[in-house]
This record gives sequence, structure tokens and C-alpha cells, in this order.
Amino acid sequence: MHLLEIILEIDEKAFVWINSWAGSTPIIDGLVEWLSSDYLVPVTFSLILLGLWFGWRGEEMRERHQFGVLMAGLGIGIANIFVKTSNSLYFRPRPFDTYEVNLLFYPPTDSSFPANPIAVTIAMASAVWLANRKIGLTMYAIALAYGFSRIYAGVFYPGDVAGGLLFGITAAYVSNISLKQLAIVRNKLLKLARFIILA
Amino acid sequence: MVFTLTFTQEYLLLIFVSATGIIQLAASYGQIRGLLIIQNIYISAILGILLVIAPLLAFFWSGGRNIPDTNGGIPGALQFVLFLSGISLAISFTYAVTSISQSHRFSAPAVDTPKGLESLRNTTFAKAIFKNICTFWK
Repeated sequence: MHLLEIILEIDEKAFVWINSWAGSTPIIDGLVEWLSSDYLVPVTFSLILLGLWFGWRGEEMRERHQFGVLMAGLGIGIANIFVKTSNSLYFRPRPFDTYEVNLLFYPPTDSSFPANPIAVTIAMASAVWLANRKIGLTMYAIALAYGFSRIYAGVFYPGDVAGGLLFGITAAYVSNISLKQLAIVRNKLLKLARFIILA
Repeated sequence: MVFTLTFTQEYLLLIFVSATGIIQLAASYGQIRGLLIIQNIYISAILGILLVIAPLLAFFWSGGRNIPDTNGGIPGALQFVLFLSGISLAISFTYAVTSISQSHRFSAPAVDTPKGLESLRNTTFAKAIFKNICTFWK
């Protein structure tokens, strides 16, 4: 048996185990339905970015946080490009296409691997982590809970979430390097934003 | 007459109100007085928290809003556009309200005052942008 087949088998067994909890506790199911929503975590993370843009004490903190927000914005775009490229090369059916699952979410039709929402939220968390460790770690914890909720809800395998995690971290890393390379453009944009009192 | 909002309008309203709250919360934390709708920092922080949490609770009260974009949900690209529109409205609203309500509190900024958001510690948006434009044309 190939290594990949062994990994996929473990991944599928882990999914079946986690998803078997769904449907047994209505309160947890309700919380998962909230957390796994397309809106709650993305909106919360975007609001955190807005808060980081405006909320600072001192010049050095302001520049560090605004750099983190710009990195997160670029990271979202890069993570989406990574996911779209991966989807065009490899399609993994969703768990509910293969197994009888306890589905707490609508059935998406795109590839299961990698978990797109996790790639995007982890890219945001990684960018913020570079600017503010405490808020970044909180965002990592929420993003991982978001990923777990999607497995529990029956729409991702654990391996898809792990893939999203790797894609997200890589996207933030690429975004960080790109923004540092494009320092002249970044500084001109920030100068313009300061002129119109937006930065 | 009862107004019924569509899902997209509800989402835009959620972003607008929450973003206004986040700006108040951030301005309180950073003590950027020119951005505070209410001058007291602690009351502004409480107002900010309420404006963030209340619309989120109202929006999700009926459940997780797990609707596919093929059946009335909001596609990712539209979510992004609505988010940008919502925060643009929130920033414009905050700048407009604070420029009017606080015009009597702050005098015109001095020539050597800091640029950008930093200047809003001691002046309003309207006065700061007016100073920048005047400096630019000189």
C-alpha cells in the first residue's frame, strides 16, 4: 500500500470518527452551525483587521499593525490563487459524496481539498501574528475551531483542513516577502492614504 | 409600513454597523479623540462593543445562515464587495458625524501636526483634510 493511500485511509477514518458525534448533542450542533457558517468567522476576522488598522498607540505600533493588515489583504488574494490552482489540478470529492454523513451544512460542489475558508482565515491569522502575537494566536485558535467545525459538520476531511492550513501559512509568507520587495509602492500608497487621513 | 430587507441588504447593514462599532472601539483604545462620536473614552468603548455584538447576534439569531450561493446565499466575490462597501460607509459616516459634532472642540491643526490618522488625536477629519489640501496647493 502506498504512503498516500495510508494517509488518505487515516484521514477518512478520522473524519468518520469526528462526524459520528454530529447529531447527538443539539447544543453543540447549534454552535457548530454558527461557527461553520460562511459569514461569522470571515466577518469577525475582517473586523479585527479593521480594528488593527485604526487601533494603535504610537507610531511604531501603527506602522507594524497597518503592515500586518496589508499583508493579510494580499495573503487572502494569494491563498485564493493557490486554492484555485490546486482545484484545477486535483479534485477530491466531498465526504458526503462517499459516505453517509451527519450533514450540518449545505453540500458544496467544489473540491474538498484544500479547505478554502481555512486557507483564507489562516493566511489572515498568520499575517496578524507577525504584527501582534496575542491577536494572531487568538485568530489561529478561531481558524482551527472553524476548520474543526467544518469537519464535524460533514463537509471537509481533516486532511483538507491541514492542506488549507499549509496553503494559508504559505500565502502569508509569500505576501510578507512580496510587500517587503514592493516597499516603494507600499510606502507611496500609505503616503496617499495618510494624505486623505485613511492611514 | 414594514420594510423587509433582503439577505444582501442585511449583510451590508451588519458590516456597516459592526464596522462603525469597531472604529469606535479602536479609537477609544488608541485615544484618537477626533474619531470618537461620544467624547468619553469609556462610553465610546462600550458603544463600540454593543455596535459590534448586537448586529452579529441579530444576523445569526435565526441560525448559522448556512445558505449556498446557488440558493440565495452571498457568493464570495460579492461578500468581498459588500464588505468593502460596508466599511467605506462606516468610515465616511464616522468622519462626517465627528467632523460636525466636534467642530467646536478642536481648533484648526497647526502646520507641524502629524499626518494621517495620527492627526485625529487633536483635530477632526474635516479640519485635517482641509489643512492637507491647503498645504498641498501652497
